[in-house]
Amino acid sequence: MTDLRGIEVVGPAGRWAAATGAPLDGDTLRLDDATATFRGGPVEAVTTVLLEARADRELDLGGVRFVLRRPQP
Amino acid sequence: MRRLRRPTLLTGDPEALDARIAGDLGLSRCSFEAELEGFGVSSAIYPLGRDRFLEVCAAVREGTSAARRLERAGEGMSMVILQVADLEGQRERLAGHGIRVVAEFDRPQTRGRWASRHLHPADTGPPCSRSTSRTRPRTSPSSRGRGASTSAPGS
Repeated sequence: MTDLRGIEVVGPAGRWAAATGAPLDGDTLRLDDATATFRGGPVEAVTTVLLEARADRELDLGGVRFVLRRPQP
Repeated sequence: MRRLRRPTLLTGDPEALDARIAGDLGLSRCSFEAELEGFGVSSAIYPLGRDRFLEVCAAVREGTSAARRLERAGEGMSMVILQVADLEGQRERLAGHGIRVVAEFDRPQTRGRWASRHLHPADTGPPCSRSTSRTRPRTSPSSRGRGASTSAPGS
């Protein structure tokens, strides 16, 4: 595991954009070093942590999905 | 500057989660506090890339917001810490969008002085998100992994 790339959130993006002042690109909040991608759903929560890693893998830790992906060439 | 600094998990079994984080992610704790004053949670910090961290909190006192949240919603992400450069400018944006502030801190940390603001989860959408801003350059080269924040969940 080498770096934090972003998170995925069930909930409205506008409030996070207002809180950070970061630009929204569709449903994705673009931070300097990561993204927060928003979608609809019945329960608002941060559902996923996106990590850069040496191998592709997905796992559940503490009730949150962790998605590990190798860096794109 | 707008950075994703620290996702924070709330768990009822921090020892088991620590073992999973070590085994599945290969991460070791770089900091641990048995109880964060005022919040009733323990806090374990794991380095997650350059100057960013994963935090695992567990309720150590009954009747705290963390304990109630764990009982109500179970394990999950309880907070996300975001860093912004201008907290004063943020204050105006928050007011303009009706986002309430539930707590503010401004105190020295191991790696300099940081101000932080906890936002009301009902206004941001759970989890409670928090923004921090370093108000003074780093004063110490040492790192305990708590450079960006003061304490933990307010949701």
